[in-house]
Amino acid sequence: MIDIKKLNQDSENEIRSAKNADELFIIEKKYLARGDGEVVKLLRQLKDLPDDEKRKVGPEIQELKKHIEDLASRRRREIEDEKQLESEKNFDISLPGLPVGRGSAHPITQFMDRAVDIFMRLGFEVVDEREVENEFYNFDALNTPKDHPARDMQDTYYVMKPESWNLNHQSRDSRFKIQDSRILLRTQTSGAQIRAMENRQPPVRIISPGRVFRHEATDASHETTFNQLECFVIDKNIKVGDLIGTIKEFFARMYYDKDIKLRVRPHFFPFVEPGMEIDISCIFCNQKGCSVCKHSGWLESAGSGIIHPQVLKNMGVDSKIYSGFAFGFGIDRMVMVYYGIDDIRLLYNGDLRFLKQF
Amino acid sequence: MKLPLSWLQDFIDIKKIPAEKIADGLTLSGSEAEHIGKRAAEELARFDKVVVGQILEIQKHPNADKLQIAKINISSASSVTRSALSALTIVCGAPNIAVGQKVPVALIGAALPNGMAIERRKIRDVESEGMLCSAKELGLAEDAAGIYILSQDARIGESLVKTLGLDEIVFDLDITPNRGDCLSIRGLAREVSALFKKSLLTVPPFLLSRPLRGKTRKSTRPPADEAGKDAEKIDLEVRVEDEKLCPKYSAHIVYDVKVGESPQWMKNRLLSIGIRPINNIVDITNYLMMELGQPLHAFDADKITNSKLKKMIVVRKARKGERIVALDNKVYELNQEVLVIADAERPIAIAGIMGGRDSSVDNETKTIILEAAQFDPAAVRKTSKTLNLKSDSSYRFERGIDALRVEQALGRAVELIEQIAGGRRDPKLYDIGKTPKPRSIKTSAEFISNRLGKEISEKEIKQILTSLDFSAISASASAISAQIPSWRNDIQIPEDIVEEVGRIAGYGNIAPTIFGNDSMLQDNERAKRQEIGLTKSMSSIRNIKDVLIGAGFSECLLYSFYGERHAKLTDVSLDNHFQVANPINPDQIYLRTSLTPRLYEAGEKNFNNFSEVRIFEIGRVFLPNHESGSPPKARLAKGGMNHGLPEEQKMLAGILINAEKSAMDNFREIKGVIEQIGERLNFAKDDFQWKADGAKTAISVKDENGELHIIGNCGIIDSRVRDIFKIPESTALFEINLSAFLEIQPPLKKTKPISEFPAVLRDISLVVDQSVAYEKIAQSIKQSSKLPIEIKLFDYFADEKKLGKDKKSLAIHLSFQSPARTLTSEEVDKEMQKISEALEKNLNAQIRK
Repeated sequence: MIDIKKLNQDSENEIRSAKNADELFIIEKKYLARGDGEVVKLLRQLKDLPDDEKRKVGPEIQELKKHIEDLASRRRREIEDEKQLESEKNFDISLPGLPVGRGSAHPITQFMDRAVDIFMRLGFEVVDEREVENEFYNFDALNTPKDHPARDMQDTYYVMKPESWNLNHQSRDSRFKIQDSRILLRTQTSGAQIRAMENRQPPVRIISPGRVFRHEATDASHETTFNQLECFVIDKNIKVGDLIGTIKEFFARMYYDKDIKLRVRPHFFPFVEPGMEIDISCIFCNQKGCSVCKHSGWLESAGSGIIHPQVLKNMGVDSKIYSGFAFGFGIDRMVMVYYGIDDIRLLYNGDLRFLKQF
Repeated sequence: MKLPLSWLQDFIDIKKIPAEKIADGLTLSGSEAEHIGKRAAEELARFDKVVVGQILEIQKHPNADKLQIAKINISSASSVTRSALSALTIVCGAPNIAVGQKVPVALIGAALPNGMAIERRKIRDVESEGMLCSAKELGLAEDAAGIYILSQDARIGESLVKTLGLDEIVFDLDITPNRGDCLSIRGLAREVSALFKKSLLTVPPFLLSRPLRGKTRKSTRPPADEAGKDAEKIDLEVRVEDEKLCPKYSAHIVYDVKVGESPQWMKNRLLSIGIRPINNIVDITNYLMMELGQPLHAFDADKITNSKLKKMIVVRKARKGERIVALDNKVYELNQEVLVIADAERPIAIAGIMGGRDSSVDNETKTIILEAAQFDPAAVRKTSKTLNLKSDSSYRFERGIDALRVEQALGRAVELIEQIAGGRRDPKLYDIGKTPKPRSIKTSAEFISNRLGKEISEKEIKQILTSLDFSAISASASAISAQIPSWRNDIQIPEDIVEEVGRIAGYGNIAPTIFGNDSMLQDNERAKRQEIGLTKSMSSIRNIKDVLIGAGFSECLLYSFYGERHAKLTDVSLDNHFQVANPINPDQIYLRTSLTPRLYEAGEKNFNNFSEVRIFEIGRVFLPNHESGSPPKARLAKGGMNHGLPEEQKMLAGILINAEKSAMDNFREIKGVIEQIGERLNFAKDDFQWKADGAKTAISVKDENGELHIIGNCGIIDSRVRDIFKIPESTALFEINLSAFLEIQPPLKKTKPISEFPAVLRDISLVVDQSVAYEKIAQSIKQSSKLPIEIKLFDYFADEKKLGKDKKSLAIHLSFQSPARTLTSEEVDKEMQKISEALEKNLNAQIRK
């Protein structure tokens, strides 16, 4: 009597209960071994059966054989997985990753690089200008004459020449005497407009990132040193719409995951006319009101305007043909707002406990 | 500039517009409302039961020495008997009360701002029906010394909120320096008028030439007083010596003023705008300065000296050695640049800035000379800077006043003085200087529309200009011309009109565009410059930073200035450093000539928290360059003026602190990092040259022509650094001049073919004298074999105990490989033999087996 059903059932139970590879091997052998495996024995019995029985039972045995083989191989994989799982039970994935180049880029330069990249994609040229300037470039050429209250807007560090220098180094060229030659740490990157245009002609699209200085006692919200990004375009028929559009484009890219709205407020900067401040909608609360925007919904973001015709003249650009816009961002404030940094001094003291967070 | 809403409402009817909307309007028109000061409803509720009372009588408390019992009238009824009947009995401990005074009275049931609840209660057996309040108890000031005494004109029984104007809303506005005209209530009312399209209320004209006897309505002075006063009439001469610095000077004499306290409403307004009330005369000048924007000053005529029976007022430059004690009680030494108001002998005021103490109005003053003038903005500012003295007056003169309305303000002041402080005006108006001619401006709708990027019609422009008080406007399709209001000193060029139109029409209505001009597209020069700028600096610097960060260095940004202790650690002498003229602290005295001193400092701080510190900075240094002392010719042609400026160089510096590693290990790591940076910029290791230069190692690289250029140095910190900063002696550092390095074009690289034949590897280990450089060993190895070899140091140590004095041990991998065939072990062994012999013979090496 050939009980395929029972054999099927038994083999299945035994394979399922095999605990390891060795046991499985023995069970496999028991059924499929060439000499005396149960299935092989069945096949041998087949020849004693009548033909019609043979035709019926033959394929069933073949199927049984295949079934057992499949089961066994599936069980073998399971056993391997269990074994691996067992060995990995004490594999502590919470151990700290091994240090691989643990340095970090300063958050200000990270932000600056991103901003610069955006302007490069918009076709701007990057110029890198001096940090120690004379009053001419920092103020006079920017339409901020001496004894003008606009100079109060920026407290200035003045610089003295080295003690070893003597009068021999003073220029005898009368051209320099008409200018105020006091030297200073630049208070703004806007002087880069004048510098850059000394060897260029419009049309230009220029950005100039860099360090600027204000004569201020330091505390959590005041720093002597910070970074600005100056941006200006001079071409035919440049208009307020271009200024707003460019700033909008910049912020749409800078904060591409936010829906940025702009607010334009008239403001006074001596080197532009009209001049304006640009606020962007708060990137944290989307204008619902939060502590970062002091519940106003707006973040002050850029000083800007249409370049004053006198400044164009100082660049040697004909304001009858060309016009331009200019704006500047304070990168430090953007970084502080973005990362929730409440003490500006952390940006300039080189503390790795801070720097390594970026 | 503070703007109290009720004061604004004197000039314009805006009761229906919410305060927030007015604030937004001002912000969007350029006068940013930074804050709206306003007491909340619950705060005001705390004053619900606080009213004005008058002290009718004061008695000693029978049971307490320090207490008094006051009868207080709080009834507005005029009948004396009735008020006496309804008077409250209040026990009070403050010493500053007197009969007749008006004081704040907290009635039973009041819950004061300081949290105190007022109940009917007995104080030492006397029942008190309320409390007299101090400013502190009312939460109005810190002054707890006594009862808050109100002005005599306060109305009995009136709620204190009304009397003190506690429900005032005050906007705190940020006025830009170009808008001197907005530094007054009237000026801001003009802005609000244009913004909300509401016309200004008509302000009564101020008559200047009112007849001497024509008493003002409210004067309380009995006519009898006026008799015989003419005899005292002052003979005054006013002279302006410098009409450039003082284009306009007007003055008026007012006799018989009664100096005293100002009315409560005036005090309230002055306090709300941030000015401390002094006396009625001074308060009126301040009040009108705030209201009309015209600074005024009152002199006590009796304190002004005569010259030949005439009182003199001279506007002149100060004389050598002159000084003045100003109203702030400080002595100011005046130089000959300073414009002063003087009498016959001495300065009595610093023009436009502050009056002198010795000529000021005090309680005894009878006759005043009232001044309203216009002073040159730049001169006032210069003097203010020189003397380090600022005032509300100088602030306004610096920003420019309305030259056409100087006399008007003077007239209004005289009128207010007559109303409030009595007095009779002398009919004579002293008036020197010309009234400025009105200025006009020309532009066009096309220009305005083009600059804004929005089509704006002549009609709309005309409307906007009209709302801003421009007059005589003619607007055609091709041109617009208009007369500029006398107070708008900031309007000079057509672009200023663009701004006026833009800000009133609203910048928010301009469609954003991106410079759509085709002249951009055809400009190869610009594209070229852009690419040069990109490759020469930006991308190279980013690559360098990538290498450093990959090697575990963190970027710092440190200060551009440092102190003497830092400066002494550099190669530049102290007297060759550029100095900060106005440092705030000693660590800001010198401009840095090297990035390393601040890095040591940051390294020291970090070493307290980390056993290993790797930091770097990229930044500018400021070097004394005598060549930049005289302007280079090439620059001159372009108009560049670098005369006297330092030579700025962009530097890269870093330090590596690891106390557990030897100086040699740290040095080798720094060297490896620099080589890696070089490779990133397409220099090969062989392109570098390292040469001892004093205690440091000079780093040079080869350019495309094979020429060497020094780009910086590296090394181990010296004892001078360790004297100042607590960092281990094995600390290594490097500093590279990026400005120079990035200019160098690397030699063209050629790739080497890769051999298909296997390499044969051998190691050699040797001990040599410390003085034998690795470079020599490598040379010797390469020279002694005819087969091509790659050599690589894999172990190095110098241990006196193991090797003996001045010895070092090196272990080197040698890789023999031929491009043409497989090398046999035997021939390599033969080469090894030659190599060993050469090392032993030439470098006195012991080969370790």
